[in-house]
Amino acid sequence: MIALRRLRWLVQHICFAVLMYGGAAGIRLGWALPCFACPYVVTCGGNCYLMGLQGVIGFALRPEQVLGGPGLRAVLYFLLFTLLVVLFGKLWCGWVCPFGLVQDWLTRIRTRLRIRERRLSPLWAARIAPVKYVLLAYLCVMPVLITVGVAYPDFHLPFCNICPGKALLPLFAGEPRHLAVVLDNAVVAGQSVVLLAVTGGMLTGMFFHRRFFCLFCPLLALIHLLKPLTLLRLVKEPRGCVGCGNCRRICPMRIEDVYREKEQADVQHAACLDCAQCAESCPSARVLRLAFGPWTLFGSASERTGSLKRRDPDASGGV
Amino acid sequence: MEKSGIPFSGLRRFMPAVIRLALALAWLLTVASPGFAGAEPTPSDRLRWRLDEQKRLPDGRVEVRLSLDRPTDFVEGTPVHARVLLTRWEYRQGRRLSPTERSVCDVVLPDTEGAYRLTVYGAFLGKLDIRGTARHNGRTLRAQLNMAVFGAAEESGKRPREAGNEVDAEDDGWIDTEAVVLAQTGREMRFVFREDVPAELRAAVYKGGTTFQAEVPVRNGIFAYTPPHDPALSAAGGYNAHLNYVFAVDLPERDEYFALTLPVYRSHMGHISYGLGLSVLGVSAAICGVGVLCRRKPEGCS
Repeated sequence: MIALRRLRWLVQHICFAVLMYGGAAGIRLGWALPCFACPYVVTCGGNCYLMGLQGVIGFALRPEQVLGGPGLRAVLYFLLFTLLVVLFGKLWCGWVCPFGLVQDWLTRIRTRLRIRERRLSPLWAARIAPVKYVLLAYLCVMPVLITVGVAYPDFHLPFCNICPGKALLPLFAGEPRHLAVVLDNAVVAGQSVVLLAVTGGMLTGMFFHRRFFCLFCPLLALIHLLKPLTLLRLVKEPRGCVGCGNCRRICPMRIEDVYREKEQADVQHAACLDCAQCAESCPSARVLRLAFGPWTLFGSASERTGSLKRRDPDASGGV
Repeated sequence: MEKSGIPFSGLRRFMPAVIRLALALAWLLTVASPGFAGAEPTPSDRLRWRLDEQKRLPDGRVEVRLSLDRPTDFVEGTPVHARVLLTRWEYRQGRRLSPTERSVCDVVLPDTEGAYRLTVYGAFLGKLDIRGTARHNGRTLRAQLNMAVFGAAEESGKRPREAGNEVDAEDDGWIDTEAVVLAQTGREMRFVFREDVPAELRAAVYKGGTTFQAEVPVRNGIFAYTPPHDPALSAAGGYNAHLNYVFAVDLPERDEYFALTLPVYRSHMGHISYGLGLSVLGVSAAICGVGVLCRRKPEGCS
């Protein structure tokens, strides 16, 4: 039986190929995908919902458009996005997102080079946790300000103009244009400098820290806001937990709550990617499971992990 | 040598040669110098379209305001016949389909306060092709304008506003500009004459309609030009600034003079710097890398 992490690795690569190059084969998965399928990639097979959200918010709020086509389209996109999140939860983050796979590649390169991971301290992790919500608010508010004439139209697609995915993902389609500073005017030049500075910092962060960008991802924040509706959840049976700490060590997002939770069953943390590595590494049977409603998709099993042993993510390949 | 009594007699022997040399110099300085058309029409002697303004209306239509510049000695009230074509562009999976919808109108431009003006309303994404014709001093002056119109009205298929006698025509214009979807600086534009023209011609390029830029060869009816990047087109607030480029081709043996006008916009790729971008990327990555490697291992982390 294939190990879960190998299955996940395979699914990630298939989704990367479909979302990055599917457009060339006529695949069009729409504008409501809850992952970083970047529209700046010419051959993309689907589009990130964040770009659709930014584009539609401003346009749909014009008085003559609210009840017209753009307004209805905005509602339709949101409903479709919500449905995809309700059905698949954060599987989009841990199993589908192309930018997530890029980060996993960097992690794998680092582990092959036997470079130690550098992690954020709990204090700094707590400090940057709200950043993704700030970015989510920024990308929702700025289009409104443009529509009412307060902000320059050059701030159109405000998050995309600073997203490192815009600079890096098109490279895989042979398009390096977004690595250049655009000198048209001060606003555009400033945004492209910020984009490249953020990209440089993120590249370093993604190399030394697993899934570093996911700590700041506004799409993850948006998906987590819909958590009460999602059918896919990470569930723990606290009485069976032996406290080995494997889940904490293997987690790419360094979530401690799964390890520490002793009473409640719902351990779906805001930063969780539903990668299920914690469930795979848990040595106790049926303690951690990825559940879809009442059914278990994947659960921890003692025969899978063998004897109780410490799981070191770097020794196992990092991802 | 015996001296002659006639003053400057020596010079007189060379007078015919001097006169011939003076005439040759005068020819070189005038007729042969670039931009001089001599008996041929100058920019101000042609009919040429000029895009004045285009703006999006609240209902999604695009309003395109045009003027037709005419020769200075144009007789007031001379009729100018214009044909307005709006061809809808449809894209599927990133590729433009063959044209399926075209609106054609023939109008006679009214002479409004000494100027010919035309306003066209485009309701859908497509190409606007306008051709004006007039007779002047025994010549046929033809002016063509092509531009993209990004109409986004809900209702498609609206006719151009200046509706006259609608003609169901199949013709596609005097000069083919299909290869130029949106004329931008820094990008080569290729044009093809649809009718038979002499194998070797010259096309004069005028920036802004009046400032001579260059002369390009027209071989077998095909010519190309790359408008240079223009800092004047850079402005905060978008890519809407344009410059009218006029391509003038003369067929004196037919007494026909073409002027093709293209609004040229600033290139989306024209003002980028890879060096600066990669420098910013590298410096940022280096600073963050140094910060990561030099920090102490935080407490509580294994």
